[in-house]
Amino acid sequence: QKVTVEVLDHLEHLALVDFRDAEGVERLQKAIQFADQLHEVNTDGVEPMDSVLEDRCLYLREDDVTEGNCTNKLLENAREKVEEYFVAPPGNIPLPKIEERETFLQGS
Amino acid sequence: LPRKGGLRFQVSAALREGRVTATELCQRCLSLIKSTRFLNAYITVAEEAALKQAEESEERYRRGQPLGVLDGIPIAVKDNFNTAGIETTCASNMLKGYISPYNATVVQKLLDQGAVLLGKTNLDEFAMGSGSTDGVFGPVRNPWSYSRQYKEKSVPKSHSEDEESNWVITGGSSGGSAAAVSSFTCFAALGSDTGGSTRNPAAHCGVVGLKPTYGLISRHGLIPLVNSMDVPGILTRCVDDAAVVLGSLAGHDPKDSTTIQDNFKPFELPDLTDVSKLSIGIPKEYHAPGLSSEIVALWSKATDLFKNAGAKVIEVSLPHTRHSIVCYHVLCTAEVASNMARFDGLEYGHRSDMNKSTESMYSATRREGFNDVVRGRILSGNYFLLKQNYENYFIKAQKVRRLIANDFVKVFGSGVDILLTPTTLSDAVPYMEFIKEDNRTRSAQDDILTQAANMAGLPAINVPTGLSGRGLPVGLQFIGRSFQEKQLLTVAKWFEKQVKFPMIQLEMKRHDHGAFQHQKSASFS
Repeated sequence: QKVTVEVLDHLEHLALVDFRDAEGVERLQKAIQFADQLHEVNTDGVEPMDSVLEDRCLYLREDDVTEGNCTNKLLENAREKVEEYFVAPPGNIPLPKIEERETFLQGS
Repeated sequence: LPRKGGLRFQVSAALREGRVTATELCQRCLSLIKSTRFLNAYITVAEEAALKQAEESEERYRRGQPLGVLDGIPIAVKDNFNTAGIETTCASNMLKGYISPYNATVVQKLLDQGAVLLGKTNLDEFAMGSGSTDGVFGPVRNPWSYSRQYKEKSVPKSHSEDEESNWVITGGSSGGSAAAVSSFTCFAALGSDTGGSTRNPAAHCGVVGLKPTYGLISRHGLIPLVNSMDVPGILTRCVDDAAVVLGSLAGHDPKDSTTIQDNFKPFELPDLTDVSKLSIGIPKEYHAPGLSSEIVALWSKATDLFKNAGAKVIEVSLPHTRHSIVCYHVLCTAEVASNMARFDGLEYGHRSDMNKSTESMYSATRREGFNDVVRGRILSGNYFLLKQNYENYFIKAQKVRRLIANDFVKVFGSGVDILLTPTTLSDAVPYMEFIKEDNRTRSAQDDILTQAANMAGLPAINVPTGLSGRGLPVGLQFIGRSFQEKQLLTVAKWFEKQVKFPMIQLEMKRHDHGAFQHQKSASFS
């Protein structure tokens, strides 16, 4: 049950991280194999657990502004900025399809 | 400075009585950090800021107005906590050069008590690992590698192949913090604990490592790995010190809505003399495959200790223990996939020069910034979260998590007060041996005894117990009921007193004055 190239490509798009080489793909295969052991456990009638504090109410504070005005501080760590804006490259350009990309997955 | 002897209020008393000044203390620690640089425990040393804090502390002592027990005490913080004005790297290229604009709540609390922040300690990249070997600044060396106790027991392969090839790992991922406390360069350090990352290196470095109950201590400013399991961890040289630090950190934080709102009262630990009312549970599943016979023997000796002192010791069962590592693997990678999504190069951290589109910039930034381990977990996590896999992996793991947590509820509900287990499968292995297996395999092996406490959110503590046949520390773990840190630490302190763990006898030939022994050891509480 090997992961298909389509799924691998899909994962690279979702994660915006690449497998880099055969070892990266092998790592995923092993991770899946390892996780498959979960299916040995009988969980009939068991509810999923999100948090160990599920019996308590989450703290919600008043919707009042209590801090802020730290624009300069927040901009300090950004590499590209203009006035009070973070500068991003053009958006809405999806990553090229697998055939057009320089990805090791092409060879698979 | 007085030797450690389970006496309370040593260094703090020394400061109050003027036997030592905060500045002297700070300078000594900074100097020791320099002479133990080969341990690679620190990523950043904030020398100027620390000396300034020490001066301010000294002024307060002069006026007779110290802020508390922690005033003037040198501490270190794992480099995944935000520290205002100080670089916070998570040992990753992704955050090299990132200067935090704020202090994590726990850091702020320590500073408010007058503690002196010496620097940021080394770790596995983004706290992923169990060796403190996989960060971009290189591995941390266990100070015990340079102890007389270890050297006496090791067979030198040749004259030239001395400590260079023989040094052992600290364990991880809070290895830098554990090494810093173990080598006396600070009196307490912060770590983090998601699967055992505070207790594991504590065991290997012979220090106390406390994982508090999830929800007790604020995670605001702790760069998250697994939001539902992460906790700040506390590393100290004795249990009393851990209680003091806990006292200054615990409590509701409006900036972390996962902290409980109950009123927390700091406590002093009583000197327990009568353990006859205690019920100690020994979970049979913790006799895990690969557990060294030495540790089995030590564990057995410990249970006898409790029995002979009149405590009730019973074997219990936590039947889903063996599934906890797999469950953790899925939940951890899934949360990591989500948490690491924030690193895109736009607002902070590394940014690639690639500028064709946002997606290509993000993807190049992340390619350049993360190591293999981090990338691997992100990809696995995304796989388990795919629509077609969500139910079978992520939801399934969450169900198994409930089974694991319920095991503990049942056992604690049956009258058991505290569980006693080993912390690690063996003593620290040499670095050269450790790196033969990959990070995921190692983590899976090493987290097996510590991980379930994170699943269930329970407090747990490593107490150094004895030395192995190789002269290296071995610790045992106590796991307590939710939010019952006082009981947990009281029992741990009693145990610590019984076992009298030996002090490390560091022999560092690299010092300017030739070979010397360093035995400074005072605890601060």
